[in-house]
Amino acid sequence: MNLTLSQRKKVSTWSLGLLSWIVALVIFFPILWMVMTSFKTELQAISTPPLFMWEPTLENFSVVQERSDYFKYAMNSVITSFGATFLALLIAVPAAYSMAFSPSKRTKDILLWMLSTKMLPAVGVLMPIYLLAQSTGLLDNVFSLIIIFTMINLPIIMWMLFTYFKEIPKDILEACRMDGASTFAELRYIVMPLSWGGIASTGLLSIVLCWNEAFWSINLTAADAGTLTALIASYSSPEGLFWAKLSAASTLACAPIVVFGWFCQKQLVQGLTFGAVK
Amino acid sequence: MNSRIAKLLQAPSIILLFLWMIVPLGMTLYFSVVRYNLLSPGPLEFDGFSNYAFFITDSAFLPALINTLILVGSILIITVVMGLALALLINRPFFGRGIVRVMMISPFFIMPTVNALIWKNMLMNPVYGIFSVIAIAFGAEPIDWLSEMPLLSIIIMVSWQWTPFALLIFITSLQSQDTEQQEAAQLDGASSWAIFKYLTLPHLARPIAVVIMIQTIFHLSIFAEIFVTTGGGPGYDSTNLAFLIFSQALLQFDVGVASAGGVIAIILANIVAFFLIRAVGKNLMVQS
Amino acid sequence: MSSLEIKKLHKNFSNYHAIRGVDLQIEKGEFTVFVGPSGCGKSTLLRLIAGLEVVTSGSILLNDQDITDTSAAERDLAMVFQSYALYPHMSVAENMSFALKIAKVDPKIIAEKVADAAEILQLTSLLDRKPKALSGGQRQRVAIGRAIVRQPSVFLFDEPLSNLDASLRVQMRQELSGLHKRLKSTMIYVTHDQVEAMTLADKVVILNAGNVEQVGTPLNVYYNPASRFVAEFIGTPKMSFIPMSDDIKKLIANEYDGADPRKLTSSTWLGVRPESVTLSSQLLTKAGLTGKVSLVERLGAETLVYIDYLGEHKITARADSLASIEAGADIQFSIDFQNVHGFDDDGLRLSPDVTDNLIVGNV
Repeated sequence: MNLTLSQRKKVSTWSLGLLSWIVALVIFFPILWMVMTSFKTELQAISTPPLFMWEPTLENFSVVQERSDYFKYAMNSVITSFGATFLALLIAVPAAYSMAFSPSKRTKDILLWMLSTKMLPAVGVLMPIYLLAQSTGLLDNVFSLIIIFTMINLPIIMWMLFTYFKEIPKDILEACRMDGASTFAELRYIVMPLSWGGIASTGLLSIVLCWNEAFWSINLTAADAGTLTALIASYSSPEGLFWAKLSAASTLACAPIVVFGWFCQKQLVQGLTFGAVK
Repeated sequence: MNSRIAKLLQAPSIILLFLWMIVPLGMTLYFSVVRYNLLSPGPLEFDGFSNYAFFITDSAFLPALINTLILVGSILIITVVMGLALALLINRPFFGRGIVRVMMISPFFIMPTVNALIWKNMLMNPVYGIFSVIAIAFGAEPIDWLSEMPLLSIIIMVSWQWTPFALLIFITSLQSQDTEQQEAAQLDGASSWAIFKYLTLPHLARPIAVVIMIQTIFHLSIFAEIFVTTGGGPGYDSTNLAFLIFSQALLQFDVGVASAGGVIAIILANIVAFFLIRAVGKNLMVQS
Repeated sequence: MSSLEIKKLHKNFSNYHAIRGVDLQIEKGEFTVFVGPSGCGKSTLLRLIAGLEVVTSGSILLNDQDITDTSAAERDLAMVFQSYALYPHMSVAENMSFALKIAKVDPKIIAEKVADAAEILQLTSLLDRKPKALSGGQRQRVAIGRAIVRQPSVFLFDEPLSNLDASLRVQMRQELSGLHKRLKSTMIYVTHDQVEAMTLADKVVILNAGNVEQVGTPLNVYYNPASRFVAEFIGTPKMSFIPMSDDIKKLIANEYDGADPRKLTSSTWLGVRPESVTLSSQLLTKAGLTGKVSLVERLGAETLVYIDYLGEHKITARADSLASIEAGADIQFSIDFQNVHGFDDDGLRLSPDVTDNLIVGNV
């Protein structure tokens, strides 16, 4: 069979597209399966062969709430994520702003040093942090978790904000000064409106990272300050096969962040690679 | 803005990060040389390097060290190769690419604990798991993944989560590749393989360096996946350094030994970072 | 309208002496152009006047008031940037009115002024657009409009046309010239393009390595360059330079009957503009020099002929559109020594001015 160049191109585009779809479905399957299972009864969940058609039930979701006080954990996740993000932005925005607009010779070194604190393995400092929290009565406390989340994300947040501020052309700020604007007017009318998007996506990324943080929340929290990661971890203890309920709890815990992630994929790349990949 | 205000604005972040680094580090170093067990209270006595000796001679130490390195190495290879393949696969427009992309990167946003539990229960369970259902359908013997090959199971779980990360970075970088360059190469008679080898791969050198760097940082201390699924077992088959230190600290309450382990973990991270920076740092540092 | 005076101005960057003692007087309503090759300090000088760089030593006076230590925001100067530097999140109207809004001018008056400026610049239909949705030329106009609206004491332009394509650049150049005639404001304009300098300026300031090389009207600078540097920089095609020799001394003696009113024989280099070179097809005219044609460029209206003289010295000459000259041929040419300048070893001009009083130059 002789195909023209354009026909050959069409065939290859179609077959590659089809292959992409199949691969994507395989990769996505565990998530899909989790969501499907969350709408099954426990019996349907473990039926063999697996059920692909059934009458969906919402029962699991209410049971999850009743049994484990799901909303308390969710609130803890919300409070720690948003609290740590707010705190980190509060500290990082002025610092990154001044680093970007009046850099000194050491600015680059300071930023690199900040990044290097991420190299310190968390287990290396688990004991001191645990004991500090214990001695100050902040074990299993939302407040200590907020501080820890703030500190572990601060370097990333600093870098991201620095990159965003750097992207505002110097010319525009000079034009603004020529227009007679004071430093405050410059911040209010030019810098803030122009970096608003950057600050927002930095915050978004920080929330995602806090929400999914597992090491500290498992080790430092119990019933009071437990976040959703810790709640899900508690399902690992074998108390029978409650897959449907596990799935319901997991779906609830992951859905907001996965949707968040879909919308900020691009910012996420920039944030996690510290602007090295555009 | 004068430099005094600049310093004032930067001070909180620098001071806080410095404290966050130096205080726990100092305490870890101190605890690592004293006898300190929460179960046997008493004055903290200087104990030389016996905590280190105890940690290193522990029969779990060598397996944990090897497991840590196997985890990092194999996950790196899998995620980089898979991420590269997927990025190339979806680099050109086709029907529904946006949705395919979103599906492919979704695992990265799943909580590590959820990730581990889905795989453990619904996919790898020897009786009801999808894998065993498929195995039986093909007439094969179902595998009890977590007890028969615990380390491989962990590798699969983590790779599933992190391949999207590599993909996300590679595809972003691929989309910024100069198409004129490729067209010029095509006119020069270069094959697809030659274009990949001589144009695309060099273009991806820095993103690959970034991926290796970041993933190494995270994978050196994989914890939640082990904690939720195998609990380090059976035996020490899936115990890594992070989990070993955790079990010393919060299961056996031996602060001294756990701290010595922590120091060893920090040293290991620094050794790996040192080699990493020598190997890929050149690519990373070109930045600005 | 304002005057500006610069006294003994110096600017040091950490390891670089960018401005090395500049004295300059700019009169009310004058269109002054700073011109020079890149790195000569012209942009730095403009930014010092704007207040965007801090003066190392010396002073700047605006209407006889010292503004050396006044901040950029308080100098009442407007600047048009090379990159236009429009505020990307504001519409055209907001961009133009920003300075007045900061100065808390009555919104009614702002609206009037913006409308006026928009009309002058043909931006009226674009007032609601964002900079992103404008073409390069339109952005340029908005940047100028932003300056006009403020009625500043001095307009500063930092290579404003260099990002436009060639034809648009010519058009905007003419519009700027018209704008100056209409507003009669003091304007300072930086460019590396000597054509812009020649066409726009009342006063040309030629800078070289942080020093003012020459100040004058465009034609004065063209006809009477103070130095070899200026002579080479102003005029296209460039002035050619030939070394003094006994042959040439003889020709000069022939031309002036032994006298040397232009002090040519005591110079080491002669600067010859293309229009002072006459090509001759016949051999053996009395002022004859010989060379080899290395390149012929036929521009349509005229033909440029590049001659290798004594092997290494290039001389540029103009010929008729259809002149039958081929590259590689030997050629005879003569030089009009009445219009040639002599330069000494240091590159300074020895010859007296060509014309004592240039009639043109200030139209």
